[in-house]
Amino acid sequence: MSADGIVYIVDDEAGMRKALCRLLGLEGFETRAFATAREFLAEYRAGEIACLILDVAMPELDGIALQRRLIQLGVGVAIVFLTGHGDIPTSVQAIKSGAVDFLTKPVNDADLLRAVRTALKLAATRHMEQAGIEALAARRATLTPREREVMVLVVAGKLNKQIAADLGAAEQTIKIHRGRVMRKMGVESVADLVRAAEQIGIGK
Amino acid sequence: MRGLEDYVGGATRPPADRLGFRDAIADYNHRFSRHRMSWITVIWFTAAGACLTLGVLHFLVWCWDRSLRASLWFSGVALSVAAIAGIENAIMHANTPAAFLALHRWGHVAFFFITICIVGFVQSYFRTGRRWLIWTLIALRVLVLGLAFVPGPTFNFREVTAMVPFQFFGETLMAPRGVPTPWEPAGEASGLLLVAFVADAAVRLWWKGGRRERQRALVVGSGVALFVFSCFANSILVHGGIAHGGVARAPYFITLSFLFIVAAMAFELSRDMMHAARMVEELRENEESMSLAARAAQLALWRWDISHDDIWVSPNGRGLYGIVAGEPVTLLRFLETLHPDDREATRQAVQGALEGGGTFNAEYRVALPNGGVRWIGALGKVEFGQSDQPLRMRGVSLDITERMTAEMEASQHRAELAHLTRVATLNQLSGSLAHELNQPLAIILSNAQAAQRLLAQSPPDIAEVSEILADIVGEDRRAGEVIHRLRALLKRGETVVLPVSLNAVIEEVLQLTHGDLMARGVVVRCDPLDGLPEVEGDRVQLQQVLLNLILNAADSMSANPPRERRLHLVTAHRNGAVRVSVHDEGCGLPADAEKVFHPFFTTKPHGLGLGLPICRAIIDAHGGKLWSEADPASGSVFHFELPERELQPA
Repeated sequence: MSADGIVYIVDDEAGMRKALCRLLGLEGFETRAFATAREFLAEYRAGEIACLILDVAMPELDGIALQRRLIQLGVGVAIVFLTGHGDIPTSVQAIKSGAVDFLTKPVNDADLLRAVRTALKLAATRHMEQAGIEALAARRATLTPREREVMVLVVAGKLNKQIAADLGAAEQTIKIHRGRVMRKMGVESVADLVRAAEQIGIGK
Repeated sequence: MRGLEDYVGGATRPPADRLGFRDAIADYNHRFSRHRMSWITVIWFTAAGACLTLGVLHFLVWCWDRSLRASLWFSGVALSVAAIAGIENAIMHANTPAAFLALHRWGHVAFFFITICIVGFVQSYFRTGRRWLIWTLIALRVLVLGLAFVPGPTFNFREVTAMVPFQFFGETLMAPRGVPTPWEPAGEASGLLLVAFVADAAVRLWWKGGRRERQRALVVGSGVALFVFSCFANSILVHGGIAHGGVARAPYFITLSFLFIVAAMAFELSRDMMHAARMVEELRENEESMSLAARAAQLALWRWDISHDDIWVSPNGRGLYGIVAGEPVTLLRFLETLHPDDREATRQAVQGALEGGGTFNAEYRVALPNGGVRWIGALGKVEFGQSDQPLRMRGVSLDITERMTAEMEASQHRAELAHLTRVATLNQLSGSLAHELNQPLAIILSNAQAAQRLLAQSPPDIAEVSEILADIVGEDRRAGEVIHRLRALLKRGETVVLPVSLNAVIEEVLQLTHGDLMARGVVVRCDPLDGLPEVEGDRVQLQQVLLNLILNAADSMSANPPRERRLHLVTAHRNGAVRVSVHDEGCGLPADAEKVFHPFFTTKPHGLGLGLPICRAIIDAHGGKLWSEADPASGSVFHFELPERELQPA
């Protein structure tokens, strides 16, 4: 039983929602179904490990439009499209925009479950990455302003002497700051520090 | 009345006077046989004879045609005048007061009748008399008659003591000597009232009528006026003389006065008859030209005498219905000639014409002996009697086989064209229709696979499985309905006219187009009227009309921003018609809104331009109309209206 993650379903057909909930429920997934994209947006909370089974053709906001909206909002939910009539341009666009899979109805249970599992795994990975980034950001928050300046220059590949000249301080002082930065950020080498800085978006 | 009793009590007459009429006649006959015939007698008898002849003649005229009431009344007037002439002549030669009084009394009877008959004549001839005047007159005359016949001398005389001979232009005539009664002026009053009644009726006719009515009013009115006036003058002369000198200074000349009115009435009636004769001549001419025209137009003429159930049919008409010459035709025989399927409807059309409308309009098939059919259109009009009972129906029949064949061919072509465009329209829809079918299939598959998983568990959740199966059945039905509807639309069928609910037709078409409209981002709002009456029509063709209108509306909005593609359907009911309106917010109509109904007019790159012309042809064939107008806000509205189905009386 793989119960780690929530499966959201958005489909305007009540019968379809019911059938999908049944099938996924029997596989141990927690499901939440919505008839419209709007209802889903109102209910969805970011930060969960979740995937979304999304119908394309729906009144008002359709599946592709919802995907676009979620990207704009910065919500990285993994999407599995499930459509009645999948044309090539739509599927290409969906996949390009980061959809996990693009399935057509009627869908075989094995295909659907595989896609859902893939999507949830991706969501878990993203969730973990997100957790790592958040940890690094928390570490960085403990740096003093001087240490931050030093870190930016270290990540930029400058030597202690150059940093001391830039900041107008003694080389010995910079050495101490650099040691504190490495310790606070929890890294062993400059290479690790550079990777951490990239993850939290410093020094670009 | 008290005076009357006194008068009756003080009567001093021999009992024989009570029945003195026979004596008077005997006496008169005696005198008549002794003397040479007086000129008065000759004139009076000539007048009586003339009146008698006229009276009998007009009575016979009335017997022949009971609707000629004026003739009956006139004959009454003429016969009464004849009687008065006889009585008057006898009075002028009456020797004894008893004979005089008896004759005088019977004179009142004749007077009573003549008054009634003049009133009747004027009323049936003018129809403008005042009712209260009529009743007053009759009441007055009945009173006079009653007073004349109560035991006692007579209405006019308290007593007549003797008959006095006097000379009148070489004739010795008898005049009464006596005392007049106080109520004598009542007689004159009734005369005046009669003049007033006739004059009033004549004036009213004058104001009401045209030239012919005015002539009538003038001739009869003045004739009656002249009569009553001279009658009145004579009465004053006779009775006034008695009042003043006890002896009449002139004989009763009422007969001569009456001749005025008889002459006026006879003149009018003869003119009517001459007029009728001329009309008969004109009618014959009309009939001849009519039958000529009928022959030229190949019309068959017929006339049905309803009370005798006898139908006369012109010779070409017999040919039309395949009835041999000489064979009597009844309604049943006529219905037998028809195609069995048309008999009941035609019988009902006849019934309807007799019971209410008065017009018979039917198209039916005559079954020919060789097995073929002949289409006939018939038009008839019922003639009703005075109490609204149907008397006759006359009409024409026309062979319309050619027209009906052409119409049926046209209808067949229309049906074929409709079918072709329907298939073309559905072809456009095929993608979204596949979606409509795919949807239930997808639901069925997922449900079935869920059920498989459930059954693999131990113990399996049977309740859940049966719920799943119920859902599967429901979805399967839905798919079946879509296929059924599609098949109906794709079928090249004959037109089948049945009661149809337009609300249901709209729902069905919206189901078919649901996927297509959603894919195009069109939002549908539908406001069906509750309790909308049904219409009569071909369901598939009406679906086609709605399909076309809905898809056109969606097409017209394809360039709109996604949120402004609203389609609004409304049904309404008014003035016996059911209306469906399809509103869109699209690009609107060309300046000439009618242009969209022209064949081959299209705004679409791959459009044929046949959709709307065929929709209009379909609606026209249903007896309705289809039109378009620019929406006040934006876009356009297409309306169609069909007559509401009439509920068959149970």
